[in-house]
Amino acid sequence: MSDNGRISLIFICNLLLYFLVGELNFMLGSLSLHFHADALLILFFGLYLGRLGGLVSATILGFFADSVSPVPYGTYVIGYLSMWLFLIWGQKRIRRQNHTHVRFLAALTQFFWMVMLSIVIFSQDSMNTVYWNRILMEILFSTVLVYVFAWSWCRFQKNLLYSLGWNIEAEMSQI
Amino acid sequence: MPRNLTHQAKSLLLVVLLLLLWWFTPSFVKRGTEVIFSEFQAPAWTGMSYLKDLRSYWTNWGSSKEDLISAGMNLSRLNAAYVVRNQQVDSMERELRRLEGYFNLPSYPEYQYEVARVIKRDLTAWWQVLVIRKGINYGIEPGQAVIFSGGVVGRVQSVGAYTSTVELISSPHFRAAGHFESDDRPVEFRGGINPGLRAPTGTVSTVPVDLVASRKDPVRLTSSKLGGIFPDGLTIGWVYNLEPSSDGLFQTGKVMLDPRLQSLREIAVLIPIETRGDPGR
Repeated sequence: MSDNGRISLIFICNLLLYFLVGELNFMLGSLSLHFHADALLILFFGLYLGRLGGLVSATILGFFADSVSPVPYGTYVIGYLSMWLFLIWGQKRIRRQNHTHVRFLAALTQFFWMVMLSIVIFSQDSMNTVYWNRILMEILFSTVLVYVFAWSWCRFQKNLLYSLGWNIEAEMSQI
Repeated sequence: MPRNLTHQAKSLLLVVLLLLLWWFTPSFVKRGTEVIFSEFQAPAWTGMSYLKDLRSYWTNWGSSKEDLISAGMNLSRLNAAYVVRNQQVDSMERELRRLEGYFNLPSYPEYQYEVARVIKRDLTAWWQVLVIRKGINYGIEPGQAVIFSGGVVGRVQSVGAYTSTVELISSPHFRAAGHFESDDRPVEFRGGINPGLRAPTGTVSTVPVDLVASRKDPVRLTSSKLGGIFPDGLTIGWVYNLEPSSDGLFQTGKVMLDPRLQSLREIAVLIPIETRGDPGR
């Protein structure tokens, strides 16, 4: 398969994750909790794949999230592209083979994105402690879950590519 | 692209170019992409909800005969009770028509109840919406009222070909007119900011100062037909405490909403039926 093949495969994996997280949130709704997994969707494109593929995938995933969220249209596209850029920036500052580095960068990306979203959706009605308590709880909950699952999710995608003949680890060591 | 730029700088340049392109894109194209992406993923959400239905079907398949017989008996009892209730409703409706005709009153708006399955729940700090498995194909339109056995759920926010998005009454942006059960004066209900792991809440304002609510004697907040969306008298929530507002003219209070709002699986959309020509029919 060509290089486009692996990008399509990873894109499909992340699209599946997008729907699975939706299902998880369906169940978490009864507990008044919500898991924002945006950083997990962009993580592999930002850290391990090429520039153009990552850019296109982040944009399309942003469109997916935007079309079902009651936010100004384009918020998620801009957010996902910013997260992707942040991960690209982080590429040279972490060791991508180190699970703690990858987890930390993913959690930090998620944290920044949620803070940005809170500022974008901020209104005068939000000027109370209950609002910020809930936001902080949601940020903490999502960031912790992203930290926990980031490495496993990356490893799963790397193993999937390896089983199909693409050795991401070897490519990274050549760079 | 210049060759001496780093990988990061090239990426940044590409993103800036893409954002500039997005900035100059006409709004109808943006609206088009929104509809395309929304409709594209709708079948996936619908498919997953059908899978959940199938899962519960197979779970019930394994139930014992005793359980099924007992469930059947409970259902037949409920059916008998509903038959009696239907007869009462029919006779009351006939009486209502007779009085409307006698006093030449305009008739109450009538609704068709479109029951739909919930396929997606997005209950975040910023918005609280549900996606249901029916859309334009069942005559659902934005702004229509949505209810369940416990009262008001919310209103339809947007409609797709086969799915619709419902804004819950617990959503921070939700506003509606209401009134208390024992009092016809209108009050304003707003969705609240919901703390996690607890039941949803809202706030009520412009409450007349003579109304009293306490832990021992809570008052029921119901929907009002003033907004033209909801029928009168459906439960919104319960108010346990009222405090004077800052201007001293009214009172405000916290509305405790039904905790089942967060785990709804089936709701009903109220589709208005065209008013009859002859109110005295």
